[in-house]
Amino acid sequence: MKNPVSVTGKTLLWVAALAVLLSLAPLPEALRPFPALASEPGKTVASLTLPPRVLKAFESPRRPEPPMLAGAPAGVEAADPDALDVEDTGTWVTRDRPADAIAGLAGGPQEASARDLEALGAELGVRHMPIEPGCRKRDAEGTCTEEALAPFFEALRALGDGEAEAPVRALHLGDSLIASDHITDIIRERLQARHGDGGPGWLFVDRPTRGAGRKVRTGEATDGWKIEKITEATWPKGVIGLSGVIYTGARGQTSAFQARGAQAAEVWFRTRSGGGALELRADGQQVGRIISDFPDDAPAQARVELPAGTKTFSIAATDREVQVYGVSLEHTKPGLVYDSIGLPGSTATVLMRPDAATFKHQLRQRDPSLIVLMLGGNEAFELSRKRTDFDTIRKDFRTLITHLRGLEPDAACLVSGTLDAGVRTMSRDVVPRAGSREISDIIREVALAEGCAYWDALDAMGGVGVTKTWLERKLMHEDLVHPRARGADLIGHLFDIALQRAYLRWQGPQRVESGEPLVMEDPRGLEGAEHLAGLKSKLDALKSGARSRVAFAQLGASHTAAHFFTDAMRARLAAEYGGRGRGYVAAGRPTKRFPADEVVRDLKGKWAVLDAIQDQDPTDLTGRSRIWGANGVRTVLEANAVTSWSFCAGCTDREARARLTLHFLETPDMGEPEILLDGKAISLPPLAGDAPGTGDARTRVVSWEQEGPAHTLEVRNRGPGPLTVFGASSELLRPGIVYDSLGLPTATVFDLEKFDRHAFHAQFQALAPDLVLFFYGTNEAALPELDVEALRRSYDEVFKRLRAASPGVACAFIGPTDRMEEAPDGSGWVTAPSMDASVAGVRQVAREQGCAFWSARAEMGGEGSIEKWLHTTPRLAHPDHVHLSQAGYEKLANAFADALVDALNEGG
Amino acid sequence: MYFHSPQFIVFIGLAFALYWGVAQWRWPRMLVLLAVSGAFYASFSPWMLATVAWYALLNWGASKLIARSEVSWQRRAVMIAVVVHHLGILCTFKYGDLFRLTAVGALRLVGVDVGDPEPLGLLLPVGLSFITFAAIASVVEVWRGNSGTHYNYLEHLLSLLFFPVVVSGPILRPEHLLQKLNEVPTLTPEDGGRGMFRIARGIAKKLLIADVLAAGIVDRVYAHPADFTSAETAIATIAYSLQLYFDFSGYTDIAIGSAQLFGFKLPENFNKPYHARNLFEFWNRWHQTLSNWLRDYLYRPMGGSRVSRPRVLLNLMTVMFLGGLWHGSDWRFAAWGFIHGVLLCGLRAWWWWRGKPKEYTLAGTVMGITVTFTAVVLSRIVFRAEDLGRALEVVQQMLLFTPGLANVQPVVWVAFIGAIVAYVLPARLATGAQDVFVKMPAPVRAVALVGLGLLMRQIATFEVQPYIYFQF
Repeated sequence: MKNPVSVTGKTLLWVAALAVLLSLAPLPEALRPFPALASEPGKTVASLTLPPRVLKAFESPRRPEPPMLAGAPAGVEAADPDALDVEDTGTWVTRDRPADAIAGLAGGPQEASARDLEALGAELGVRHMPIEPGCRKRDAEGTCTEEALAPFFEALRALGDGEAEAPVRALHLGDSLIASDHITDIIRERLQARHGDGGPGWLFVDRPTRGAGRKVRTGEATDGWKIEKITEATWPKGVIGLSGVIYTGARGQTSAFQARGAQAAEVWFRTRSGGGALELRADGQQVGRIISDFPDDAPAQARVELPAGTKTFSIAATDREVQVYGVSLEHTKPGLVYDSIGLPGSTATVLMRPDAATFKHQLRQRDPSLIVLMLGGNEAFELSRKRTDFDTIRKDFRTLITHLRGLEPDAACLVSGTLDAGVRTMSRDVVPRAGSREISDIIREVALAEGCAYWDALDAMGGVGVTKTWLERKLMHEDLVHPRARGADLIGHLFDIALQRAYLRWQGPQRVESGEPLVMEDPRGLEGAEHLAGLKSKLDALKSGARSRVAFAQLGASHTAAHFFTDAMRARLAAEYGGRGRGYVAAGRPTKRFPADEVVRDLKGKWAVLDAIQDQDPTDLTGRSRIWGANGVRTVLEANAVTSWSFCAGCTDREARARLTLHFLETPDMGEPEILLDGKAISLPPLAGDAPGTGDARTRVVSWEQEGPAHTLEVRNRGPGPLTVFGASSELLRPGIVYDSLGLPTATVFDLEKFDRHAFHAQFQALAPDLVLFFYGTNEAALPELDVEALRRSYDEVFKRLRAASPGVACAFIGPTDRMEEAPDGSGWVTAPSMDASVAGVRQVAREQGCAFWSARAEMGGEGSIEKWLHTTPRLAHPDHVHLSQAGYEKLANAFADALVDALNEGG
Repeated sequence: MYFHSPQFIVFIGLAFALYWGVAQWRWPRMLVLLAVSGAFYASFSPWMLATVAWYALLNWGASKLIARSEVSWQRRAVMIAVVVHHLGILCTFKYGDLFRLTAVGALRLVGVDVGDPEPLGLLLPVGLSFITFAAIASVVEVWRGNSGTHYNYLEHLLSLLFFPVVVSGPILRPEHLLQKLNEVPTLTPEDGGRGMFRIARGIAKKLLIADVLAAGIVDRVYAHPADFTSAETAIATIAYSLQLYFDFSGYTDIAIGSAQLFGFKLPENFNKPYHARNLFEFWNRWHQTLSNWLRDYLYRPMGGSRVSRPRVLLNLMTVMFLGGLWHGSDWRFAAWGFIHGVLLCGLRAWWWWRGKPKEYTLAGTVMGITVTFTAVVLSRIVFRAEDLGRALEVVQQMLLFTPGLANVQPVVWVAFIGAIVAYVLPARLATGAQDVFVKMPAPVRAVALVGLGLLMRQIATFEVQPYIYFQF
């Protein structure tokens, strides 16, 4: 008898074979058990056989999102740098970090709540997305003269200065997310904590959806009120106003509101012929009576003062039907009032449904300084049901925003993108709701175009797909759309922090004498372009046909030494102005990093490549050990060792002549150099007797001109002593630019300062740059506490030498890229300790030295942007959170080149 | 690694090959089973293996101590110590935060504010509730003399870790498994076919019915009951009972089928529970291994029904209350158990007064099934809702008697009606289908299994439609 087990085993084998065959067959995906098996066999097999935990360990070393990343305000008009008085020895700072926004809550329960939510946010990886300020007014040249939120901020400032005579009102319109008041309650509490409590504001007579939702923004109403609202399929035309709801009640219907310290109540109702009356009561005592019987069918409001200490304000219909919109309760002293008006089911289209005249009347009467719009979720729903499309959504939002701005042109306008949401599949997997990102982008586009500010709620939550995590953390309801109370609190918190940071930034830099480290303004774009006027004329001349040379020398650390940045810059500028070849290349080991058609470097025999970071000799009293090539490297050839450079093998301009230059060190004990140019020995010119040097060591830079572009320069040490070579350069003798890349990994300007000054002088004199670019600061950012004063002194010293070697040289600073470090407790990545100080310090030095400045970090996206660059496709940053990928360097270089070329092309 | 995942299918195929390759040798067989069981459990929580290993060590040590001692109270003391330990571990991991929060609330009620202490944050080891009950059963049976004391540590460990039952039962009496482990296993072609059929049936129950009902109606309604009509809320509540049955019995099918592939026969856990004519009968048909455990290790030791009538009622209440709480670390589970306790006590009292029916007429059967099913379904509102407040909302919504079923998608209707039809169909039909499958040649079986898998995957990727009354 055959083995009975084998029958079952055969079935299992058949199942496996069939599954594999079907998976590999060219069939529709629905018929293939494992569709990915053909394209990713290893991964598929691993996913079927290894637990997720093990799989994760083999995945790319993606780090958790840094807690509460901050992004730079993209497109923000910079505060006037001149406003920062560089002569002033005090510190002028803009306090706009999240911590500054929280600190403004000044120790109360709100601050404790904010810190609690910060901790929660850090666990979730939410981000402090700044508000994009938008622009409500521009001058004839298109320059923004008033940011979108300026009216609101002006009102807040007046409130703070005691100049306000009326409450400052904000109106937050939205859908069910706002209807619950979970998001807006925290915003209201925070704003009132900072700027004064102006009262509860607008309250509905009853919950717009009877029996559903919270009652925190409504009265306690009797059951007989008829409720009509714009979210219903058939809504009453011509009567509904700002709130989107109208309540009709007759005798016996009442609604009671918690006064919460309010000293005045305003009842919003509708007059009409035959309308009934309302009795207004404070703690049961009549304080007023409204008769809505009036010939005009129109919105109206009546205000009554409430006796001190009133606990409950109520309205009661006393006879015929009366139509009421709501009640607003306010304090008589100025303060902040935050109305939240949200209706489940609202969309941009729905918010256009109210009667225009009524809406306009009530909006103008409320006179908000700020209108906030938070919609988009229902549009995403409609999109998922294919009942709308992106063009329609764009049109609807444009219509609504234009409408609102037209009705209340003096109010600031702030629009939020939609939240992340999810949907479930039948297997109960949570997948992101389609369209959230696209709709947010549309909202942003329309908001900024229509003069509103924009806040990206989606990115603040952590981006598309975070709903799953929020659900797991019980911050999201099971419908995957509505945040639970604590989740909504977190969104309100993020919104509040963004708004407060925008306000702090709007207030501009403030003078502080001492205290915690603070953040300097870090806008994007090239600053101080006026310092490049000389360079501009040279380049203009070059463009006009002058047969001249314009040289760029970029000093820096690993960002420069990687060559990707400088290669991209060289290519970009050469395309613009013409190129003169590779320029300077340090002596060193063979590398594939250089394009073979530009330069091939070689090193043979016994040699040592030393650099200014690793091979310092603090015991050297002669100073010879500090003699480095222009990029901080020197190569020491032992007897019979050879170093060589083959330049321009791929150059197409066969007619061009080339100048080959060699940088090396001449000392009495050096080995005898043998120089070969294209294989032929050439002699060194004699050293000028009075050439400055350090001790008996002198840096020599010698050049030879040759016909044709492609040449090989070879240096052989015939011995017996060592021969120190710094590098060589090749320039084609034709009009154009040369871009020398002088980078030393891990270097800081403190290292550059220590370079031997004679060697520096000789080499920079030979390089003869028209523009020196400094790209340091990323390593300085890693210092536990960067001493900005020491930084300034170092640059002072470098500039003295530079200007001595190259009088009239222009200068530009590329500010440090964003840098993060692993948190000491291993909880994730945090911004490098001196990051802000490094950006601020470099910017300050640039201003002091009369140089242009361009912030690489701002261009990347500001604080935490290295993390974002790490997770792009293709990846733009290295997982060490310090370096960039080739694509990253090229992206950054192109952005800088654009800024530079634009600045140089400006003004004709 | 969930039972209904493709990973489990691959896992069981590999485990099958390994196991039967060495099945005729005791130690290799046991070590393979231990290794695959350990790997299975570790796929959920590797470090929790230590907890199971510790349980097994105590059980093994206790069995040795009990075997050596001839003093009755010493044997009893060892047993009680181990039981207390196991319950202590379970309470600490599972109920620590619940008790802490309750204590804080209680103190606040009497005016003592201890602030808001940090949660203990202990991770409940997967299957700890089941493992604990199995471990308790093991040591109690040793003490009672119903189980051998000669088993070694690895056997004790395997009896707790056996992969088909480690996560969610059926709750075994370890002795049964230990005895089986020491026999050379056999697997007839028919048993193998039945095992595979049972697994496929379990997965289909879970993915084609339980998950569709959960995602399609139950989860949505219980998230926002106010957004649905009374009719939809009622459908969701009934659907939940169907979901629960098809989910858990599907799981049990997979467990039983998997064990069968390795030559083990596990006890059944369900016997048409919604055919029960009264609530006692329901508990004899629903999660039978838990009911039996509660009967054998809680109800009867308290005196069971052989005590005074008030004590019987107290015993019933205690068992149902604790049994309810066993289901989860929330007082709503206790409330659910309490409701069942009250109903059972009421029924018991009624029988004392009017006599227990000897047999049911057709009308009595219909009425009994209807009343029992209704009681089960309604009591589960508390079980399913996130909290008691939400349960109240569901009840309120149902009592509004608003009509309309627009939110029930066609696919949900298919699953709902399919569930009812599948449930009421005579068992012989399922047996007949099983026999057909068993008689199929291996390649045809494979086609059927792969085809079923493709169908299930297709349905599983459907997006659940959002509700239509209130989008936001």
